[in-house]
Amino acid sequence: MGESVECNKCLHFTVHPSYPYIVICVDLGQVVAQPREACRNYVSKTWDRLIKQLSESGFLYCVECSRPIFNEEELRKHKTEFIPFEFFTDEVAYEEAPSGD
Amino acid sequence: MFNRLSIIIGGPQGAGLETSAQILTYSLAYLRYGVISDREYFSNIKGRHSYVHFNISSEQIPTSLTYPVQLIAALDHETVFTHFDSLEEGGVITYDVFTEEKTLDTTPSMEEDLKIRLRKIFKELGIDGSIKSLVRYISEDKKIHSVPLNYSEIINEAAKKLVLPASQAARYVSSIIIGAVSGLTNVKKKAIEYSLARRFYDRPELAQQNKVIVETVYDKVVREHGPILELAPSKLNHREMMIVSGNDIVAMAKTVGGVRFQSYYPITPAADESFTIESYEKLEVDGLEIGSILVLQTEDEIAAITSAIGAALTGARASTSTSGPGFSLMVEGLGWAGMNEAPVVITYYQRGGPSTGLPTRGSQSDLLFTLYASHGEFPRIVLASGDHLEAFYDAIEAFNLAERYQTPVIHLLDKFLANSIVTLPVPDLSNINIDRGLIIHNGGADYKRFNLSTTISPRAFIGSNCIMWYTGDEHNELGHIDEDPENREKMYRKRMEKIKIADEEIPEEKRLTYYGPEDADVLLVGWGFVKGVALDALKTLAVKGIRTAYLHIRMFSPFPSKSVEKLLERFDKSKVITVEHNYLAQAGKAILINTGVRITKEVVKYTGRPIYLNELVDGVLKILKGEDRVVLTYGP
Repeated sequence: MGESVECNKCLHFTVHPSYPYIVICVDLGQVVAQPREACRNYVSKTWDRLIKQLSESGFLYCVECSRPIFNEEELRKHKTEFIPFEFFTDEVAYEEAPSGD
Repeated sequence: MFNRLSIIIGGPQGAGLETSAQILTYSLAYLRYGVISDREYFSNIKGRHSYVHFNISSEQIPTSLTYPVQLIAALDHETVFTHFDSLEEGGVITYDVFTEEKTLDTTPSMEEDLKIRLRKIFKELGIDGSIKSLVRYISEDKKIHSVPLNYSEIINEAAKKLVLPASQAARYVSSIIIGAVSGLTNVKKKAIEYSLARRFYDRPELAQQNKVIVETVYDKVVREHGPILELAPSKLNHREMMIVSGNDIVAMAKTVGGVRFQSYYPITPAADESFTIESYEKLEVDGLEIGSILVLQTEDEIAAITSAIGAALTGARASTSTSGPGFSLMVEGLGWAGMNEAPVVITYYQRGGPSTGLPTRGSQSDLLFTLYASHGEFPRIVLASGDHLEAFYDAIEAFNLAERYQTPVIHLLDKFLANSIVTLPVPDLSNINIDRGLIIHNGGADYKRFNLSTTISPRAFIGSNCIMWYTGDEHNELGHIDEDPENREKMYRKRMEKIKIADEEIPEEKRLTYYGPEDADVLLVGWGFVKGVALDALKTLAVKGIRTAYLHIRMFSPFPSKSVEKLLERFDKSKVITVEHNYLAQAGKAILINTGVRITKEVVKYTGRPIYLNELVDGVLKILKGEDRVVLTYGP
């Protein structure tokens, strides 16, 4: 990467669903403590890619704000580094969920 | 070494905090410490700020929570922002170093009200509002010992040791605070290992993976900081201890009391009780199957109470559990049970209302509602438990009273009790009696369900050889609709006089308890979960030279009028104070209605947070200085 691009713009930059400051690079399989200069495996999380993802999945999710995003207008209000392409799946999440409303 | 510690662990809802709290509680109980912990959380499935407040003692089983705390273990920066001012001077805070640059502006999950209050405080303190500046301030100004940890590095290290992808290891981030808390307090590793194995008994790989993270942090904390808050060895000597929430203990009690039908519609904070009963619904003694409990999730609370009434009429011990909004829907059914003398038990966990209110926060604002709910007049028995042990015995007694007096029984509890976890010696079962009241099995065709020759008519079960009819209308002795004025007067009186019999038969000393010196100068009057903090307040006030007693009311219908009136007469009116979790001081109103004595001094709280020892003592002191009413607000 010739230019100084931080890795939080990368497609592989995945944020922990509960702790947005804990970041995992799904390509390296490591926790990345802070955004750093992008490595050679960098794939740009472009606006077009996000829009495409939004259109295909029906929604995106901002981990920082803990809010779903349903359209382009809403997407513009969020920082793209907190909108992961890929989610951790937590198969035991229900154990910590409240049991009633 | 510390004989008593208060700790807060905090983080986002649904991210492992509850499991961490469980494991810490198991570990402390394993080492025989007395523990009470309260979970405070938003009405939110995942993401909002949640915390668990522990009070730990090596000398007794604590009954209340207090501030300031000696340790805050933060899973996220919101915890640091929310709780930093709860720390005692010289206390300890542990947090992730990579949150140091976070500010209120980069914490969107926080409520704006709190941010506004904090911005003002930060401005006054001259700090820039980042976690870094805040930690620096409390370290210098309040002599707080900071224990920063690098959570990402710990996860990577654990992933390497466990040969796991980092995304998998990151799921165990909440174990970091288990390691930090246990290292700082010198809770032994073997206790943590036992607790992990217990919590993940069916998934040993999870116990092992979490253990690696816990031990990594434990060693690091001890190596770099030492056990700064080392707990003194426990002096408690109970042979067996239970670790139970209020929901758990009521579920256990109902099982012991012989419940055979439990209905519910899911609602916080009641539903966990039904889930617990459900998980033990097949009853075995020494390997011999002795029956089962039917737990039914109905489509709503109307069906929950009506199905429980139906089960009760067939002879099953039947109950339903709910909270305020659910009880509102049950009121029509409650009246039907009153009219038909159906022995149904309603376990009622109060939460903040009205309407949806504060669904996950505590309250005691439904006392008057339960005493008078429904149109028309009919007797009901209303019990209110003050702690886990009382809840155990009362949940059993509720069935006995319902069947003895053939009337609905409302067992009042609250969120504070439902969600607080305590260590508790195993209750003594030797004095438990099961009283099913007057039952007839062979009445045949001549059987009269509502026989007027006796106030409490022998009860036959649907399905027996007795014939009976039930209707919501006024009825004759057989149960058929009857609007005749003479029948109406007799049947109405028959129902109403049952409460008079209950009042004569249930000893008043079982309906209230007086704690403290006989010649006390000050009397606190309370009910429900106020009991624990009131009892601790007596001790604190005694140290200050104020001889204080506590009158705990455990049954509101029939009300122990004679005893309450007699007790209140002994005190100077300016030194009798109701302490309650509602605005109106509702128990005070119930006392006025039943005895004619008006209590004019009130300490109340309605923020949804528990009453803490420190604020109750301050509140009582303000009343003694001349204030009539103190509203408590402590707690984030």
